[in-house]
Amino acid sequence: MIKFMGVVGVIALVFAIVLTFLRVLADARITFKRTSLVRNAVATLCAGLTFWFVTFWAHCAIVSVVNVLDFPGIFHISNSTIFNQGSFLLNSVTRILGQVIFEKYLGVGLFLTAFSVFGILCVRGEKSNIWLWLPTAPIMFLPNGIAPFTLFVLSAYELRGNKTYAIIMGLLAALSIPYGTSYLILAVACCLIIYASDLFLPFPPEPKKEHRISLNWITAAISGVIIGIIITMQMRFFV
Amino acid sequence: MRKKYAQIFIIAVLTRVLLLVIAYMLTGSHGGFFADLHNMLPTKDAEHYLKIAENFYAPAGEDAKFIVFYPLYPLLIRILSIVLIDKVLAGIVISIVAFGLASVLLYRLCELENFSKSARSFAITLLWISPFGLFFANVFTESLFLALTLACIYFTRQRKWAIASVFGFLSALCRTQGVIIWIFVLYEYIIACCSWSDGFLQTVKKIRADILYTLIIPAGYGVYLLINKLVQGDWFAYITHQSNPPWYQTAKWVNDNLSQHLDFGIKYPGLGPILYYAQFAAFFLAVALLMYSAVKNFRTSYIIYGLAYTTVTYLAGWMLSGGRYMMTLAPLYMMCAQVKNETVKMAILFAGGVLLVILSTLYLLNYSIM
Repeated sequence: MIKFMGVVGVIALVFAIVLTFLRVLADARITFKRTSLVRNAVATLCAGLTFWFVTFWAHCAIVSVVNVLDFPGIFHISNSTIFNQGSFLLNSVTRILGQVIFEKYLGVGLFLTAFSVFGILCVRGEKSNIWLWLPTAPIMFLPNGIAPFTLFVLSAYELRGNKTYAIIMGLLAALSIPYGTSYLILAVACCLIIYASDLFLPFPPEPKKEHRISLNWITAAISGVIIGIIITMQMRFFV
Repeated sequence: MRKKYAQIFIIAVLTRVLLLVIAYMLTGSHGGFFADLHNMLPTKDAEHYLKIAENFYAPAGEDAKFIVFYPLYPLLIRILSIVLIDKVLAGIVISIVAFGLASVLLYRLCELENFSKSARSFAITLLWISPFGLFFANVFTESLFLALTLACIYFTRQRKWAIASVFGFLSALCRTQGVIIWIFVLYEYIIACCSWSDGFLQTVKKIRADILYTLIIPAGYGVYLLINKLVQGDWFAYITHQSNPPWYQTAKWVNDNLSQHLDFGIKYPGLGPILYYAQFAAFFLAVALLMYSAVKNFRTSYIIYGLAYTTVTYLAGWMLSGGRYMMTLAPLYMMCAQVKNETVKMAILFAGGVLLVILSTLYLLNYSIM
């Protein structure tokens, strides 16, 4: 019970951070018009640091919850393993290449690949939200699947106008989900945050299309996450 | 207008004097008001501040551990005691005057944020009756820290970056949490500078020139580290001392610390309500207020600062002074003032008043009010 109250405290804190994060996004969208590269960069930095902070704390909270609940033998995660979990995509590529290249370089490689996809989208999409998500870069360089996962989910979001592409990106995201229950929950949390940011943010006056919540993206991301959960749980027995 | 601020200052000072009188009377002591308070007030950390004011930091030996306390407040005591002779008196005078200034600054800040008259009044009233308010009239850094932080916030909101940063610098020299105000200043800076419409080059020039001022704030912490290095040969000597007796403080996850507060509250029932449960409750109250403010579209910079402050404070393992620390989180008073329900406001003020008197008296009776 005592431990549980501590966890409740952290969850409350994380919830407050998420709410604050949404406020930061609101500030960013209102203050920084998407006309200046410098302004966007500053906004990006601001939003990105907050995003990273939220992600980190969400992860810590999840680890805490999981450890307290302590499901027998399955879900227990120690803090030392927070950043040491691979993903299906990452491990598969690593195996195919016979581990000639170190895993972390593959992580960076995947990041660059996903980043270039982002770059193309950025050039194409005039009203893209990409700049808000680019600063997830700090976590991108971690040698695990969270980086490509984040980028693929965001790509799915950007491609929400096209159902097929969105689903492909969602699947890629699912394959990139790292092992470990905490990351899976985190992945869902990420999706919810992105979704909530669209739902609740006071947008500046923009074309109506920007306001609309795309069911395609939601479907792609959520189905991606669900598939990721299934794949990851399966992979626990094989890898 | 100035008359109004002077009135606030005077009332704030009087509230502290009145509090001391009431608390003293409730202790049932008969040794004389000044003589008794001279012994009752400077206990716990106050003793350490006085020692630093007397001898500065010691390079080695038993007193070396006092380097965990930041230098600004003891330094001011030292300076003022040249005139007042008595260091305890100097410490109390600094605290009470700083409290008066903090009250005025809080009021002006509320004006700046377009608070209604009623909300402004509520904010400073809440400050005046905050449960651990005796520390505002004691040889502790609370008043000075609050005044410096509020000054930094006030000038930041006026976009006077240089002067705001100087106050931020002093705040960082006052207490561990002082440097956190940098986050507030930076956020406000980003919001402010990116709203300019002077054109690209002008904007970049202004960013470069102004943002350098804000670097003064972490320099305050840097000066403290330099003192660590010069006196004890280690930039982070204070961390080592903090982890040793009597503090045992190392950084731990917030959930571990909260659990520990509850655990200790149960193990030591005498200390629970006044120490462990108090800081446990303070955490949840602060977080609840921050969430409420976020939902109510309170200015984001205040919420970010509040979050960072709360998080950093509750990362400290074996903390004993959580309630006192949270009392100096200035935006909380403003956030409370945003509550619309009059009954709730009245209940808050009522509870604050009751606790203020009880805790102040217990402190004077040497209970573990930290």
